[in-house]
Amino acid sequence: MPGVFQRLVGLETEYAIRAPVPDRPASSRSKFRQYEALVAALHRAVPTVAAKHFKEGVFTANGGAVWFEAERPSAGGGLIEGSTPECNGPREAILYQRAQDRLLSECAQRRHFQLLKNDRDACDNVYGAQESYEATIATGLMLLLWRVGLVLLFPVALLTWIGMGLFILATLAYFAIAGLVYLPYKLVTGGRESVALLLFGSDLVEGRETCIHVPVWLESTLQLATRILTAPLALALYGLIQLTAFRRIRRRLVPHVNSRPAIAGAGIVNVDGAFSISDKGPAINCLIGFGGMVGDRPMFSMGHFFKTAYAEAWFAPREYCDLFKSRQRLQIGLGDSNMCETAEYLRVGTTLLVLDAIEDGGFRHPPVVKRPIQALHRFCADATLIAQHALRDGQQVTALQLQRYYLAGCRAFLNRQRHVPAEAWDLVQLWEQTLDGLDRIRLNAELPESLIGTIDWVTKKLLLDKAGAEASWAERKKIDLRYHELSEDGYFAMLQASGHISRITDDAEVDRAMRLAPANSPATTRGRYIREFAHGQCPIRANWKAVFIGRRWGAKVIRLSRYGRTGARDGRDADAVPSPHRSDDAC
Amino acid sequence: MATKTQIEARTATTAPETKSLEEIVNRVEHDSRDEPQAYLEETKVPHGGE
Repeated sequence: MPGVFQRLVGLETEYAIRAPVPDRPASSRSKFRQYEALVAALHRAVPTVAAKHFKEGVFTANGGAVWFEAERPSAGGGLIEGSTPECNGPREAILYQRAQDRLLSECAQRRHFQLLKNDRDACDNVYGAQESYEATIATGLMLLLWRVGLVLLFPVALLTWIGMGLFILATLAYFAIAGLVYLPYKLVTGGRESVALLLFGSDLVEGRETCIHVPVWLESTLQLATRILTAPLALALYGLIQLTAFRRIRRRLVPHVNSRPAIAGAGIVNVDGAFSISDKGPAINCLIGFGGMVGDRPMFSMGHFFKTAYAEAWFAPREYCDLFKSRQRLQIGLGDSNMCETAEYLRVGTTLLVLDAIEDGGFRHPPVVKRPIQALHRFCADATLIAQHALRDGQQVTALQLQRYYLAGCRAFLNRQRHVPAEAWDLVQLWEQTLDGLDRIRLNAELPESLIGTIDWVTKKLLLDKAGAEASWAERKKIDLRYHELSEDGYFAMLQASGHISRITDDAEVDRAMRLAPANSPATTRGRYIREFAHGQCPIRANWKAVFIGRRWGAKVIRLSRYGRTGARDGRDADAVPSPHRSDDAC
Repeated sequence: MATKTQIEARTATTAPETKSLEEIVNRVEHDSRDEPQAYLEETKVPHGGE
């Protein structure tokens, strides 16, 4: 796809919830309650509608979404996840990220808890940020292979759906039997809450949504059974992705993503006390994966393809057909949750530029890094930026040398273009200035003043260095974590309030982005429907693909693929809600 | 386009307080010594995320 910044980009962030430690182990329930409280506050602040999705969530007036993310809800897990609307260009992406940060943190504080925008807790549990870029999955023979593979996989997907259906029937049968056993017990003894929780889980016991739909033991059993059931589909899909999906992009992008923590890392105090320049980088353990299915933490997360094949397409088979399209979502799992706008802007902007150059035929012969995951860990562990790693041709390179290679390639790419947005040149200039500043760290072993408040790991390292060597691990870790707290007591927030942080956005436009969707995006239409119908009589739900107005089977479906960039460019989407435009029509 | 929604009015940019970097760093250092272990407990995310 030709052009500069002509692809959609979206950012996902998992925010940790800072909550007082409960007296008894019911933290999962309290975290879901906090999510509910946050959504209630959100609903008062901006129009919101329920998400039509297998995950608990809502979409907001600006076309973005907020979810309750829990890997193991009954075991105490639980995060607030925010997804920006689909944006055009890096500045817009970080504007909506900042709008999301502010909206969620204000709503959380109204309900007396705080959010942390970071990637790892004190026990090394990983979560955090992901980026999604619209990109061509394959062309020519590879695209044909991808599509043939999807056709061949369909019977496996079908069998998986049948198996999932049987699991649900078995679970319902279990509840029926458990009810028959528990009823006489309750009549005779009056019943005990612990027994009821063991048999039914807290949803049924409390008589309301707690996000713990089944007992703890059954959740573990079902999770294991689901993994076994979906394993054949997962393995086959993994093979197909490895063989065909984003092959050219992956090969040319890996050295950039590998060395990107130098400019966009958030920094972390590790469990052994050492400082790494990236919060998430040291946890990455493979190039491609589904993201957590078997303990994998991939650089490129393909979990959305798997979720579509085994879950989303089950409810809406059309979703499976969407996998055949050549333009798909490339998800990068290696990205830190940035507090500094400049670092976030560089993370997204440089990656967008590199992708544009790659799809234009650039970076044909990139430096091929030997053992890229090992290289990533080596670069992340080195705050002096002098660490080198071997390329396949035997040459040794630093992270900054790799970044300089991509900077030069992107500049050459822009010089070849007829129409270059001014933002692209500004970004290249900022990239170069940042690399110049980082070079001073490499040469002088000092943190340059120009990078304080622009690059997170440098700013955090300054705070840690000032705390001194005598500070305990817990004190250093508190500095690491509280830097990311989204409240006026957060350390980054304190620096920002005192004018020590460089801004790219301003408060007025962030305020606007909390309520209005970006133009020329599927979010434009989604956001408009949400604002129009959220407080009406007619039920409305939304997801990334469509808006559903009306009740269940009679609901009108507005597919957002019809209202993307093309529609907006001709002006039709800019000012009006496309028909059906009255809630009465749909109801 | 008329909407049925009420949107909260907000104030825009506030002028930054003027505190030197040194003052902020000292404040951070002081606060970091205040029950750090409790803070680490309060911010745990069992099982992480995606």
